[in-house]
Amino acid sequence: MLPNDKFKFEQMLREQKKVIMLSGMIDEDTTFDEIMKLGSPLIFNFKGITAINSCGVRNWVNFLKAFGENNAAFEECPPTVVKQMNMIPSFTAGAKIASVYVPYVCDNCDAETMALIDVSKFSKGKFSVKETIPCEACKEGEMELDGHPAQYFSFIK
Amino acid sequence: MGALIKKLRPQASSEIVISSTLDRRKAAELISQGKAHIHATALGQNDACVRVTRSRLDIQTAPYPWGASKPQVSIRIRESSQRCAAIQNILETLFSAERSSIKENLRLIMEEMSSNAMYHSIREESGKDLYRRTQGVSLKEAEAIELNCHRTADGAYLSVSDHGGTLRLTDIGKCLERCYKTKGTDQMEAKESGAGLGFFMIFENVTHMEISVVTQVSTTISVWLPVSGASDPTYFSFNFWGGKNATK
Ligand SMILES: [Zn+2]
Repeated sequence: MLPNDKFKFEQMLREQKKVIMLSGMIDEDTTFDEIMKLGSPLIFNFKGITAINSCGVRNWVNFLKAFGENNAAFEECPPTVVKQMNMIPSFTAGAKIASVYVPYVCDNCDAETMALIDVSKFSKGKFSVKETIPCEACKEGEMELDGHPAQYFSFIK
Repeated sequence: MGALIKKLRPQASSEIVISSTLDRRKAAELISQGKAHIHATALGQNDACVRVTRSRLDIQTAPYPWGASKPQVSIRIRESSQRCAAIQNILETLFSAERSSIKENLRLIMEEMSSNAMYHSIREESGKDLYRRTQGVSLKEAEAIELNCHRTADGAYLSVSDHGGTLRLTDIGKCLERCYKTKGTDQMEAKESGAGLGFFMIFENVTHMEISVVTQVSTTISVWLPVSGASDPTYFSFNFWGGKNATK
């Protein structure tokens, strides 16, 4: 949560589908009333979300319940969102998860990167993700997945 | 004094739950049954933290190994709007070189610890929280909370103190059990209260948690979590000290 990193959203159209680009932090001050008015279905793009606290989770879950989880899809979820998805299952409820970012860190130069992974075909206990990738920063080291894959993908139902 | 310690020791030991096969869900159940001292460890009585808990139950005071040092950063917070900047300050001062996942985890824990202290420590006579989560809060000078952090060799020791002294073991047990049972869903309904979900997030993400309550005076929640190397999910401890009607 960076100071003044308040929540914002923008609407985009992609192949006739409404995509809502969310950014900033989701906290006690965040309301989703304006998004509710946009109708459904919606694709929620979480790429720009920087942090979520427990009040933000509560606001999101209440919104999702009212909006209808079956009319929602999530994409480009960064680790901070994936953490909440894993800890609080009602954060996603029955929404379709299309893709998430997986964090990697270099064992040689400590550089960090994130790889976008399509998880739409993953199922419980059945997922494949590279545990290491080459480091583009130092060109010498290997970047390792930052965390346990089974834990990171435990949101998959 | 020697006789007194001797007399208390068997009772003290029976008050501690020590197990190598506990997970946090099971620990939450035990807390809701009134257990105030829980150690998930394969080392049994030889675990350094277990030894501290045992000695404290025998009326000696000793700090846990992870909480022995003075804080390197200590910040008093009165305005809810200052919270983010205070947390950012600690992260930049002590953890700037850590990877993003570690910093995010620390940020979440400090955020939940400090907001719980700001919104849920000061109560009206009826027992209701004086301040509401749905709006910013400006605490009185005497109500200011203190956020402390010490970077240990391999981890982070964080503590938050408030001037309410209203936290009870029964409340913690109830909220944790509800969170594990319903996976958070029924916590969402109570829009204005709800310290529960934040507390659950802290409990899930730290290795050691210690709560000291001086009823109607102060509550200090201290936690330790590793910042280098992987955390072992089977190793953790929870200890609750003091509080009226809380431990016995
Ligand atoms: Zn590298």
